[in-house]
Amino acid sequence: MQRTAVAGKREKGDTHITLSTRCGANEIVITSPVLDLFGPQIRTAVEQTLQQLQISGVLILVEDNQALDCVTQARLRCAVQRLQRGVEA
Amino acid sequence: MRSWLYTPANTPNRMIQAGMYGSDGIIFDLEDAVALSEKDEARLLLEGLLPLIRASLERTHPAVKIAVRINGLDTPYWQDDLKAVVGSGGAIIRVPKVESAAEVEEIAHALSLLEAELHIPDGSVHLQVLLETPRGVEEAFRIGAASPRVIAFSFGAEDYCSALGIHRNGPRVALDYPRARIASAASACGIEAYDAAYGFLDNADALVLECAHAKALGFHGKSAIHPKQVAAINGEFSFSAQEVREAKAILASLEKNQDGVSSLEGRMIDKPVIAWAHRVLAAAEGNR
Repeated sequence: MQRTAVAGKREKGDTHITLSTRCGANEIVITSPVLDLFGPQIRTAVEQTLQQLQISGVLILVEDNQALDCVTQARLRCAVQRLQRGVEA
Repeated sequence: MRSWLYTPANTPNRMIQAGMYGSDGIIFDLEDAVALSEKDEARLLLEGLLPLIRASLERTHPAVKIAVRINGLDTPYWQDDLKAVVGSGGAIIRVPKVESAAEVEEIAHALSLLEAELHIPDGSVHLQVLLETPRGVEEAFRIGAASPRVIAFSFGAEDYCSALGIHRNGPRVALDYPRARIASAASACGIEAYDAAYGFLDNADALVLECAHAKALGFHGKSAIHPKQVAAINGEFSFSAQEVREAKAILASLEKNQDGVSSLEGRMIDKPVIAWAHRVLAAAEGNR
């Protein structure tokens, strides 16, 4: 059964993360008003955090609104913890 | 420290900007400003942002201090809050609704364990204690003397008024007793006292009057809940040019009369007067 957790906000300077379990490799989908400039950097921040937390088999929707990398990473950590605790969206 | 500006700890942009409004200190709030469903989110955000904000302020506003208000000891959150704050380099913790010396001892012990775990010198994390209930006010001196970690009291007027069933914006005299008791206990403990935040944002005149009143009772500063309150608070809790001139004149008169007894314009200059003059000049030079 697919499970989903969310964290963060869509306000400026923040990121809203939706994390869902899935079969197979991780998939990262990013939306951002600064996607052209910072898309690769956001993706790297997400990938690094997933690697640190040893997370696989998830779909991550990153709705960035010009957040700093550490904010994106904090929101992702929270979504992961909520998914693991079973706090559903 | 004249002014402490509260900022919710789950709002990245506001946290990043908090140090730019001229307050002497900022307080990232994990308690009342954060909904129960967001406690975990705020704590993780604070862990991620605090090192960055500290480093940034050290470059741009090095005098600005950072404190974090944790959740109360009667909640399941305070120990995780402590770990997050100390683990990310926070050195001042504001503890809400303290009512006894035993509570200070409990949190001081938890901090000692954390400091040992993180290889931080024992006692390096300090506490600002919020006195917000009649019981806390009555216990003020014992609370302040319970640990050398306690560096300040802060008055919490909303909860105090609620406990007594009085209106926060009622006659000012209603809060004279807790204010005087807190300021006196702080002085007895050798620590600072900060007055309660004023929640009526559109009443700037009343804020100024409340600052002046608290200063007259012995408070060093006041909490703010909006950046627009900071300038008024700083202004009221700064020593006036007249006070600075008077302090300089007092110390100058001592240099002329070094036999231990002095007077200035008919006023006897003794030890407490000299101590006041030193305090005024230290504050004027920014050594708050």
